[in-house]
Amino acid sequence: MDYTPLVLSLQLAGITTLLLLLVAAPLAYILVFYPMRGITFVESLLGLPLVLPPTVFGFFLLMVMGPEGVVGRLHQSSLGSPLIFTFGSIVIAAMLHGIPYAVQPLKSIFAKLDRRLLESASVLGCSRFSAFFRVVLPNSLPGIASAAILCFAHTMGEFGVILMIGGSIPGETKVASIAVFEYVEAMRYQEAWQLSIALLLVSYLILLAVNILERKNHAA
Amino acid sequence: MASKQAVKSSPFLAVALLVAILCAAPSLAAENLFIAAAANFIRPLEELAKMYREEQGVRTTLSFGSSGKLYAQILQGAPYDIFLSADKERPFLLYGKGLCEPPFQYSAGQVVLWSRYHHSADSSWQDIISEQVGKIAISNPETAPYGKVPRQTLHQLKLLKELQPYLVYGQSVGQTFLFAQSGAAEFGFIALSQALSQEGQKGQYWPIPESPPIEQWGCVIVHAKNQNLSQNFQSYLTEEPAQNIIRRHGYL
Repeated sequence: MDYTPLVLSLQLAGITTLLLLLVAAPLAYILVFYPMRGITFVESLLGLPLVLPPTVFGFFLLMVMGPEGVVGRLHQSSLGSPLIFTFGSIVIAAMLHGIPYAVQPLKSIFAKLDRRLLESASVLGCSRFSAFFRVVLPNSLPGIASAAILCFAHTMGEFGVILMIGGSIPGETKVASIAVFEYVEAMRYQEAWQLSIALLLVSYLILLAVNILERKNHAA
Repeated sequence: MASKQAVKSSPFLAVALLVAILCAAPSLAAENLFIAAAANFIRPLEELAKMYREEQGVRTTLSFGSSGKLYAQILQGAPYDIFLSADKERPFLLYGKGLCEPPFQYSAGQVVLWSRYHHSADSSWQDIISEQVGKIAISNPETAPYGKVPRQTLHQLKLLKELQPYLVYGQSVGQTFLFAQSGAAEFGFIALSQALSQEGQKGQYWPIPESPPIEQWGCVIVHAKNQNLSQNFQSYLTEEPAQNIIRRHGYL
Protein backbone atom coordinates (compact mmCIF):
# COMPACT_ATOMS: atom_id res chain seq x y z
CA MET A 1 0.00 0.00 0.00
CA ASP A 2 1.35 3.37 -1.06
CA TYR A 3 0.77 6.10 1.52
CA THR A 4 2.52 8.87 -0.42
CA PRO A 5 -0.82 10.53 -1.32
CA LEU A 6 -1.79 10.69 2.34
CA VAL A 7 1.54 12.25 3.31
CA LEU A 8 1.15 14.70 0.44
CA SER A 9 -2.31 15.66 1.67
CA LEU A 10 -0.96 16.30 5.17
CA GLN A 11 1.90 18.37 3.77
CA LEU A 12 -0.45 20.35 1.58
CA ALA A 13 -2.86 21.00 4.46
CA GLY A 14 -0.07 21.99 6.86
CA ILE A 15 1.71 24.36 4.49
CA THR A 16 -1.53 25.86 3.21
CA THR A 17 -2.81 26.50 6.75
CA LEU A 18 0.42 28.17 7.83
CA LEU A 19 0.69 30.44 4.80
CA LEU A 20 -3.01 31.19 4.79
CA LEU A 21 -3.00 32.34 8.42
CA LEU A 22 -0.12 34.70 7.65
CA VAL A 23 -2.17 36.24 4.86
CA ALA A 24 -5.59 36.09 6.49
CA ALA A 25 -4.70 37.62 9.87
CA PRO A 26 -3.67 41.06 8.53
CA LEU A 27 -6.52 40.88 6.04
CA ALA A 28 -9.12 40.25 8.74
CA TYR A 29 -7.49 42.93 10.90
CA ILE A 30 -7.87 45.54 8.18
CA LEU A 31 -11.44 44.44 7.46
CA VAL A 32 -12.46 44.83 11.10
CA PHE A 33 -10.47 47.83 12.30
CA TYR A 34 -10.00 49.91 9.17
CA PRO A 35 -13.18 49.47 7.15
CA MET A 36 -12.50 51.69 4.17
CA ARG A 37 -14.93 52.81 1.55
CA GLY A 38 -15.99 50.01 -0.76
CA ILE A 39 -14.77 47.32 1.65
CA THR A 40 -18.02 45.42 1.07
CA PHE A 41 -16.90 44.75 -2.47
CA VAL A 42 -13.65 43.23 -1.21
CA GLU A 43 -15.44 41.16 1.43
CA SER A 44 -17.86 39.75 -1.13
CA LEU A 45 -14.93 38.85 -3.36
CA LEU A 46 -13.20 37.03 -0.50
CA GLY A 47 -16.36 35.00 0.15
CA LEU A 48 -16.59 33.76 -3.44
CA PRO A 49 -14.77 30.46 -2.81
CA LEU A 50 -17.64 29.45 -0.51
CA VAL A 51 -20.15 29.85 -3.29
CA LEU A 52 -18.32 28.90 -6.47
CA PRO A 53 -18.33 25.22 -7.40
CA PRO A 54 -14.80 23.77 -7.17
CA THR A 55 -14.96 22.89 -10.85
CA VAL A 56 -15.55 26.53 -11.78
CA PHE A 57 -12.85 27.65 -9.40
CA GLY A 58 -10.45 25.05 -10.78
CA PHE A 59 -11.25 25.95 -14.36
CA PHE A 60 -10.43 29.62 -13.71
CA LEU A 61 -7.20 28.68 -11.96
CA LEU A 62 -6.14 26.39 -14.79
CA MET A 63 -6.61 29.22 -17.25
CA VAL A 64 -4.84 31.80 -15.07
CA MET A 65 -1.93 29.64 -13.88
CA GLY A 66 -1.25 27.88 -17.21
CA PRO A 67 1.55 29.16 -19.45
CA GLU A 68 -1.02 31.20 -21.42
CA GLY A 69 -2.48 32.78 -18.27
CA VAL A 70 -1.38 35.97 -16.52
CA VAL A 71 0.01 34.32 -13.40
CA GLY A 72 1.56 31.39 -15.25
CA ARG A 73 3.37 33.71 -17.65
CA LEU A 74 4.63 35.89 -14.81
CA HIS A 75 5.97 32.84 -12.97
CA GLN A 76 7.63 31.50 -16.10
CA SER A 77 9.38 34.78 -16.90
CA SER A 78 10.52 35.49 -13.37
CA LEU A 79 11.47 32.01 -12.15
CA GLY A 80 12.08 30.29 -15.47
CA SER A 81 9.83 27.30 -14.80
CA PRO A 82 6.12 26.68 -15.37
CA LEU A 83 3.81 26.98 -12.36
CA ILE A 84 0.98 24.66 -13.28
CA PHE A 85 1.17 20.93 -12.34
CA THR A 86 3.55 21.60 -9.41
CA PHE A 87 3.07 21.24 -5.67
CA GLY A 88 3.31 25.03 -5.45
CA SER A 89 0.36 25.43 -7.78
CA ILE A 90 -1.94 23.28 -5.62
CA VAL A 91 -0.78 25.17 -2.50
CA ILE A 92 -1.82 28.43 -4.18
CA ALA A 93 -5.12 26.88 -5.26
CA ALA A 94 -5.83 25.53 -1.77
CA MET A 95 -4.94 28.88 -0.22
CA LEU A 96 -7.27 30.81 -2.51
CA HIS A 97 -10.02 28.26 -1.94
CA GLY A 98 -9.47 28.39 1.83
CA ILE A 99 -9.47 32.19 2.30
CA PRO A 100 -13.03 32.49 3.69
CA TYR A 101 -12.43 29.61 6.10
CA ALA A 102 -9.51 31.55 7.59
CA VAL A 103 -10.85 35.09 7.37
CA GLN A 104 -14.30 34.49 8.86
CA PRO A 105 -13.26 33.11 12.30
CA LEU A 106 -10.49 35.71 12.56
CA LYS A 107 -12.89 38.50 11.72
CA SER A 108 -15.40 37.44 14.33
CA ILE A 109 -12.79 37.13 17.08
CA PHE A 110 -11.24 40.49 16.15
CA ALA A 111 -14.68 42.09 16.22
CA LYS A 112 -15.23 40.79 19.75
CA LEU A 113 -11.94 42.25 21.02
CA ASP A 114 -12.30 44.84 23.76
CA ARG A 115 -11.55 48.13 22.04
CA ARG A 116 -10.39 49.62 25.34
CA LEU A 117 -7.39 47.28 25.21
CA LEU A 118 -6.34 48.86 21.95
CA GLU A 119 -6.98 52.33 23.28
CA SER A 120 -4.83 51.62 26.32
CA ALA A 121 -2.10 50.26 24.07
CA SER A 122 -2.25 53.41 22.01
CA VAL A 123 -2.13 55.63 25.11
CA LEU A 124 0.84 53.67 26.38
CA GLY A 125 2.70 54.48 23.17
CA CYS A 126 2.15 51.30 21.21
CA SER A 127 2.11 51.78 17.42
CA ARG A 128 -0.71 50.24 15.38
CA PHE A 129 1.73 47.78 13.93
CA SER A 130 3.09 46.53 17.23
CA ALA A 131 -0.39 46.63 18.78
CA PHE A 132 -1.39 44.01 16.20
CA PHE A 133 1.34 41.66 17.39
CA ARG A 134 1.33 42.50 21.10
CA VAL A 135 -2.36 43.02 21.80
CA VAL A 136 -4.59 41.74 19.02
CA LEU A 137 -2.94 38.40 18.26
CA PRO A 138 -2.36 37.20 21.86
CA ASN A 139 -5.99 37.97 22.68
CA SER A 140 -7.30 36.15 19.62
CA LEU A 141 -5.75 32.73 20.08
CA PRO A 142 -9.05 30.79 20.10
CA GLY A 143 -10.07 32.42 16.82
CA ILE A 144 -6.69 31.72 15.29
CA ALA A 145 -6.93 28.10 16.41
CA SER A 146 -10.37 27.63 14.89
CA ALA A 147 -9.27 29.32 11.67
CA ALA A 148 -6.31 26.94 11.51
CA ILE A 149 -8.49 23.90 12.11
CA LEU A 150 -11.01 24.93 9.46
CA CYS A 151 -8.25 25.59 6.92
CA PHE A 152 -6.51 22.33 7.66
CA ALA A 153 -9.71 20.31 7.50
CA HIS A 154 -10.89 22.03 4.34
CA THR A 155 -7.57 21.44 2.60
CA MET A 156 -7.44 17.78 3.64
CA GLY A 157 -10.81 17.41 1.95
CA GLU A 158 -9.87 19.43 -1.11
CA PHE A 159 -10.82 17.51 -4.23
CA GLY A 160 -12.54 19.29 -7.10
CA VAL A 161 -10.06 22.11 -7.56
CA ILE A 162 -7.04 19.80 -7.43
CA LEU A 163 -8.75 17.40 -9.78
CA MET A 164 -9.11 20.24 -12.27
CA ILE A 165 -5.57 21.63 -12.08
CA GLY A 166 -3.31 19.00 -10.50
CA GLY A 167 -2.71 16.53 -13.29
CA SER A 168 -2.41 13.72 -10.72
CA ILE A 169 1.38 13.56 -10.60
CA PRO A 170 2.55 11.03 -7.96
CA GLY A 171 4.39 12.72 -5.08
CA GLU A 172 3.61 16.17 -6.47
CA THR A 173 -0.12 16.75 -6.96
CA LYS A 174 -1.72 13.33 -6.41
CA VAL A 175 -3.24 13.88 -2.96
CA ALA A 176 -5.23 11.32 -0.98
CA SER A 177 -8.66 12.34 -2.25
CA ILE A 178 -7.50 12.06 -5.86
CA ALA A 179 -5.79 8.73 -5.21
CA VAL A 180 -8.99 7.25 -3.73
CA PHE A 181 -10.96 8.51 -6.73
CA GLU A 182 -8.49 6.86 -9.11
CA TYR A 183 -8.43 3.58 -7.19
CA VAL A 184 -12.22 3.40 -7.48
CA GLU A 185 -12.10 4.14 -11.19
CA ALA A 186 -9.40 1.55 -11.72
CA MET A 187 -11.53 -1.04 -9.87
CA ARG A 188 -8.83 -1.34 -7.20
CA TYR A 189 -11.41 -1.29 -4.43
CA GLN A 190 -9.21 -2.86 -1.78
CA GLU A 191 -6.65 -0.08 -2.05
CA ALA A 192 -9.47 2.47 -2.11
CA TRP A 193 -10.71 0.99 1.18
CA GLN A 194 -7.27 1.03 2.78
CA LEU A 195 -6.48 4.61 1.86
CA SER A 196 -9.98 5.78 2.80
CA ILE A 197 -9.76 4.17 6.21
CA ALA A 198 -6.31 5.67 6.74
CA LEU A 199 -7.66 9.08 5.79
CA LEU A 200 -10.58 8.62 8.14
CA LEU A 201 -8.33 7.66 11.04
CA VAL A 202 -5.91 10.52 10.49
CA SER A 203 -8.75 13.03 10.21
CA TYR A 204 -10.40 11.70 13.35
CA LEU A 205 -7.17 11.78 15.34
CA ILE A 206 -6.54 15.38 14.32
CA LEU A 207 -10.03 16.44 15.37
CA LEU A 208 -9.72 14.50 18.62
CA ALA A 209 -6.41 16.18 19.45
CA VAL A 210 -7.90 19.58 18.70
CA ASN A 211 -10.93 18.94 20.90
CA ILE A 212 -8.81 17.69 23.78
CA LEU A 213 -6.63 20.80 23.55
CA GLU A 214 -9.71 22.97 23.51
CA ARG A 215 -11.10 21.27 26.62
CA LYS A 216 -7.82 21.84 28.41
CA ASN A 217 -7.82 25.49 27.39
CA HIS A 218 -11.29 26.01 28.74
CA ALA A 219 -10.47 24.25 32.00
CA ALA A 220 -7.33 26.34 32.52
CA MET B 1 -59.61 38.44 5.17
CA ALA B 2 -59.37 37.50 1.53
CA SER B 3 -55.66 38.17 1.45
CA LYS B 4 -55.13 36.03 4.52
CA GLN B 5 -56.86 33.14 2.84
CA ALA B 6 -54.67 33.54 -0.21
CA VAL B 7 -51.59 33.31 1.94
CA LYS B 8 -52.93 30.22 3.69
CA SER B 9 -53.80 28.39 0.53
CA SER B 10 -50.51 28.99 -1.25
CA PRO B 11 -48.56 26.20 0.50
CA PHE B 12 -51.36 23.77 -0.37
CA LEU B 13 -51.13 24.88 -3.95
CA ALA B 14 -47.40 24.34 -3.96
CA VAL B 15 -47.74 20.86 -2.47
CA ALA B 16 -50.50 19.94 -4.90
CA LEU B 17 -48.34 21.11 -7.78
CA LEU B 18 -45.38 19.13 -6.51
CA VAL B 19 -47.48 15.98 -6.17
CA ALA B 20 -48.80 16.48 -9.68
CA ILE B 21 -45.28 16.84 -11.06
CA LEU B 22 -44.02 13.79 -9.18
CA CYS B 23 -46.93 11.69 -10.40
CA ALA B 24 -46.41 12.88 -13.96
CA ALA B 25 -42.69 12.16 -13.98
CA PRO B 26 -42.78 8.34 -14.37
CA SER B 27 -45.07 8.48 -17.36
CA LEU B 28 -42.70 10.94 -19.03
CA ALA B 29 -39.78 8.67 -18.32
CA ALA B 30 -41.41 5.59 -19.82
CA GLU B 31 -40.13 6.21 -23.34
CA ASN B 32 -36.76 7.40 -22.18
CA LEU B 33 -33.47 5.62 -22.67
CA PHE B 34 -30.69 6.27 -20.18
CA ILE B 35 -27.26 5.88 -21.79
CA ALA B 36 -23.93 6.06 -19.98
CA ALA B 37 -21.03 6.57 -22.36
CA ALA B 38 -17.27 7.07 -22.31
CA ALA B 39 -16.21 10.72 -22.56
CA ASN B 40 -14.56 10.35 -25.97
CA PHE B 41 -17.91 9.42 -27.55
CA ILE B 42 -19.78 12.61 -26.60
CA ARG B 43 -19.96 14.19 -30.03
CA PRO B 44 -21.08 11.23 -32.12
CA LEU B 45 -23.52 10.10 -29.45
CA GLU B 46 -25.17 13.50 -29.16
CA GLU B 47 -25.73 13.50 -32.90
CA LEU B 48 -26.99 9.92 -32.88
CA ALA B 49 -29.33 10.58 -29.97
CA LYS B 50 -30.85 13.51 -31.79
CA MET B 51 -31.35 11.43 -34.94
CA TYR B 52 -32.76 8.52 -32.97
CA ARG B 53 -35.28 10.81 -31.35
CA GLU B 54 -36.34 12.28 -34.68
CA GLU B 55 -36.66 8.88 -36.36
CA GLN B 56 -38.01 6.71 -33.57
CA GLY B 57 -39.55 9.27 -31.22
CA VAL B 58 -37.58 8.01 -28.25
CA ARG B 59 -35.90 10.43 -25.87
CA THR B 60 -32.47 9.67 -24.48
CA THR B 61 -30.70 10.87 -21.39
CA LEU B 62 -26.93 10.87 -21.80
CA SER B 63 -24.40 10.60 -19.03
CA PHE B 64 -20.67 10.86 -19.74
CA GLY B 65 -17.59 9.95 -17.74
CA SER B 66 -14.55 7.74 -17.82
CA SER B 67 -15.31 4.08 -18.46
CA GLY B 68 -13.95 3.21 -15.03
CA LYS B 69 -16.29 5.52 -13.17
CA LEU B 70 -19.36 4.44 -15.13
CA TYR B 71 -18.44 0.80 -14.57
CA ALA B 72 -18.19 1.35 -10.80
CA GLN B 73 -21.54 3.11 -10.83
CA ILE B 74 -23.20 0.22 -12.69
CA LEU B 75 -21.76 -2.25 -10.17
CA GLN B 76 -23.55 -0.19 -7.52
CA GLY B 77 -26.83 -0.34 -9.38
CA ALA B 78 -26.85 2.92 -11.34
CA PRO B 79 -30.08 3.13 -13.34
CA TYR B 80 -28.52 3.09 -16.83
CA ASP B 81 -30.13 1.16 -19.68
CA ILE B 82 -27.08 1.05 -21.91
CA PHE B 83 -23.37 1.28 -21.18
CA LEU B 84 -21.03 2.40 -23.96
CA SER B 85 -17.51 1.78 -22.72
CA ALA B 86 -14.26 2.93 -24.29
CA ASP B 87 -12.83 -0.56 -23.93
CA LYS B 88 -13.67 -4.21 -24.35
CA GLU B 89 -12.69 -5.30 -20.87
CA ARG B 90 -15.35 -3.60 -18.75
CA PRO B 91 -18.50 -4.68 -20.65
CA PHE B 92 -17.24 -8.27 -20.50
CA LEU B 93 -16.53 -7.93 -16.78
CA LEU B 94 -20.14 -6.83 -16.30
CA TYR B 95 -21.29 -9.73 -18.47
CA GLY B 96 -19.28 -12.11 -16.31
CA LYS B 97 -21.11 -10.81 -13.27
CA GLY B 98 -24.46 -11.29 -14.99
CA LEU B 99 -25.20 -7.59 -14.99
CA CYS B 100 -25.59 -7.14 -18.73
CA GLU B 101 -26.59 -8.81 -21.99
CA PRO B 102 -23.83 -10.06 -24.33
CA PRO B 103 -21.58 -7.08 -25.20
CA PHE B 104 -21.35 -5.70 -28.73
CA GLN B 105 -18.70 -3.61 -30.48
CA TYR B 106 -19.96 -0.23 -31.68
CA SER B 107 -16.79 1.54 -32.81
CA ALA B 108 -13.02 1.63 -32.73
CA GLY B 109 -11.23 4.84 -31.86
CA GLN B 110 -7.76 6.05 -32.65
CA VAL B 111 -5.39 7.91 -30.42
CA VAL B 112 -3.43 10.86 -31.79
CA LEU B 113 -0.88 13.35 -30.49
CA TRP B 114 -2.26 16.90 -30.42
CA SER B 115 -0.88 20.35 -29.68
CA ARG B 116 -2.26 23.86 -29.84
CA TYR B 117 1.24 25.12 -30.63
CA HIS B 118 2.72 25.14 -34.09
CA HIS B 119 5.17 22.38 -34.97
CA SER B 120 6.47 21.05 -38.26
CA ALA B 121 3.61 19.19 -39.89
CA ASP B 122 5.92 16.89 -41.88
CA SER B 123 7.63 15.34 -38.89
CA SER B 124 6.43 12.15 -37.27
CA TRP B 125 4.87 12.21 -33.81
CA GLN B 126 8.03 10.65 -32.39
CA ASP B 127 10.25 13.45 -33.71
CA ILE B 128 7.79 16.05 -32.47
CA ILE B 129 7.44 14.63 -28.99
CA SER B 130 11.17 14.16 -28.49
CA GLU B 131 11.58 17.92 -28.97
CA GLN B 132 9.04 18.73 -26.26
CA VAL B 133 9.92 21.23 -23.56
CA GLY B 134 6.63 21.32 -21.64
CA LYS B 135 4.26 18.79 -20.12
CA ILE B 136 2.53 15.99 -21.98
CA ALA B 137 -1.08 15.29 -21.00
CA ILE B 138 -2.28 11.69 -21.07
CA SER B 139 -5.42 10.09 -19.66
CA ASN B 140 -5.00 7.96 -16.57
CA PRO B 141 -3.75 4.67 -18.08
CA GLU B 142 -5.47 2.62 -15.40
CA THR B 143 -8.92 3.97 -16.00
CA ALA B 144 -8.99 5.28 -19.55
CA PRO B 145 -8.17 3.16 -22.61
CA TYR B 146 -7.13 6.36 -24.39
CA GLY B 147 -4.36 6.62 -21.80
CA LYS B 148 -3.49 2.94 -21.65
CA VAL B 149 -2.80 2.51 -25.36
CA PRO B 150 -0.42 5.47 -25.90
CA ARG B 151 1.39 4.57 -22.69
CA GLN B 152 1.97 1.06 -24.00
CA THR B 153 3.22 2.51 -27.27
CA LEU B 154 5.65 4.82 -25.47
CA HIS B 155 6.82 1.83 -23.46
CA GLN B 156 7.34 -0.37 -26.53
CA LEU B 157 9.29 2.37 -28.30
CA LYS B 158 11.40 2.85 -25.16
CA LEU B 159 10.32 6.49 -24.89
CA LEU B 160 8.44 6.13 -21.63
CA LYS B 161 11.37 6.39 -19.26
CA GLU B 162 12.60 9.57 -20.86
CA LEU B 163 9.16 11.20 -21.04
CA GLN B 164 7.73 9.97 -17.72
CA PRO B 165 8.73 13.12 -15.76
CA TYR B 166 6.75 15.25 -18.20
CA LEU B 167 3.49 13.30 -18.06
CA VAL B 168 0.45 14.81 -16.38
CA TYR B 169 -2.72 12.81 -16.01
CA GLY B 170 -6.26 13.70 -17.01
CA GLN B 171 -9.13 11.80 -15.41
CA SER B 172 -10.77 11.28 -18.76
CA VAL B 173 -9.81 12.01 -22.33
CA GLY B 174 -11.98 15.13 -22.00
CA GLN B 175 -9.81 16.55 -19.24
CA THR B 176 -6.66 15.54 -21.11
CA PHE B 177 -7.88 17.61 -24.02
CA LEU B 178 -8.55 20.56 -21.71
CA PHE B 179 -4.98 20.41 -20.40
CA ALA B 180 -3.58 20.51 -23.94
CA GLN B 181 -6.14 22.97 -25.28
CA SER B 182 -5.50 25.50 -22.49
CA GLY B 183 -1.77 25.28 -23.12
CA ALA B 184 -1.17 23.98 -19.59
CA ALA B 185 0.39 20.98 -21.32
CA GLU B 186 2.34 21.31 -24.56
CA PHE B 187 1.01 18.05 -25.97
CA GLY B 188 -1.87 15.73 -25.31
CA PHE B 189 -2.67 12.15 -26.29
CA ILE B 190 -6.31 12.47 -27.29
CA ALA B 191 -8.93 10.74 -29.43
CA LEU B 192 -8.94 11.46 -33.15
CA SER B 193 -12.59 12.41 -32.77
CA GLN B 194 -11.55 15.24 -30.46
CA ALA B 195 -8.86 16.40 -32.89
CA LEU B 196 -11.52 16.63 -35.60
CA SER B 197 -13.87 18.67 -33.43
CA GLN B 198 -14.24 22.42 -33.76
CA GLU B 199 -11.92 23.05 -30.81
CA GLY B 200 -9.50 20.36 -31.98
CA GLN B 201 -9.13 21.92 -35.40
CA LYS B 202 -7.57 24.98 -33.79
CA GLY B 203 -4.48 22.88 -33.15
CA GLN B 204 -2.43 20.29 -34.97
CA TYR B 205 -2.48 16.52 -34.67
CA TRP B 206 -0.18 13.65 -35.60
CA PRO B 207 -1.37 10.08 -36.12
CA ILE B 208 0.28 7.35 -34.07
CA PRO B 209 0.48 4.35 -36.43
CA GLU B 210 2.18 2.26 -33.73
CA SER B 211 -0.89 2.42 -31.48
CA PRO B 212 -3.55 -0.20 -32.19
CA PRO B 213 -7.14 0.96 -32.64
CA ILE B 214 -9.13 1.13 -29.42
CA GLU B 215 -12.09 -1.23 -29.65
CA GLN B 216 -15.12 0.30 -27.98
CA TRP B 217 -17.74 -2.14 -26.72
CA GLY B 218 -21.08 -1.59 -25.12
CA CYS B 219 -23.84 -3.59 -23.49
CA VAL B 220 -27.48 -3.47 -22.45
CA ILE B 221 -27.82 -3.54 -18.69
CA VAL B 222 -29.88 -6.46 -17.41
CA HIS B 223 -32.09 -4.40 -15.12
CA ALA B 224 -32.82 -1.88 -17.90
CA LYS B 225 -36.32 -0.49 -17.50
CA ASN B 226 -37.15 -1.14 -21.09
CA GLN B 227 -35.34 -4.13 -22.58
CA ASN B 228 -36.99 -3.92 -26.01
CA LEU B 229 -36.11 -0.28 -26.42
CA SER B 230 -32.54 -0.91 -25.32
CA GLN B 231 -32.13 -3.81 -27.76
CA ASN B 232 -33.58 -1.60 -30.46
CA PHE B 233 -30.99 1.09 -29.77
CA GLN B 234 -28.24 -1.51 -29.82
CA SER B 235 -29.12 -2.59 -33.35
CA TYR B 236 -29.63 1.02 -34.39
CA LEU B 237 -26.12 1.82 -33.21
CA THR B 238 -24.49 -1.05 -35.07
CA GLU B 239 -26.30 -0.57 -38.39
CA GLU B 240 -25.00 1.35 -41.40
CA PRO B 241 -26.55 4.85 -41.03
CA ALA B 242 -25.35 5.21 -37.46
CA GLN B 243 -21.98 3.66 -38.29
CA ASN B 244 -21.54 6.28 -41.05
CA ILE B 245 -21.98 9.05 -38.52
CA ILE B 246 -19.60 7.38 -36.12
CA ARG B 247 -16.94 7.08 -38.84
CA ARG B 248 -17.36 10.72 -39.78
CA HIS B 249 -16.35 11.61 -36.24
CA GLY B 250 -12.98 9.93 -36.61
CA TYR B 251 -13.71 6.34 -35.64
CA LEU B 252 -12.92 3.22 -37.65
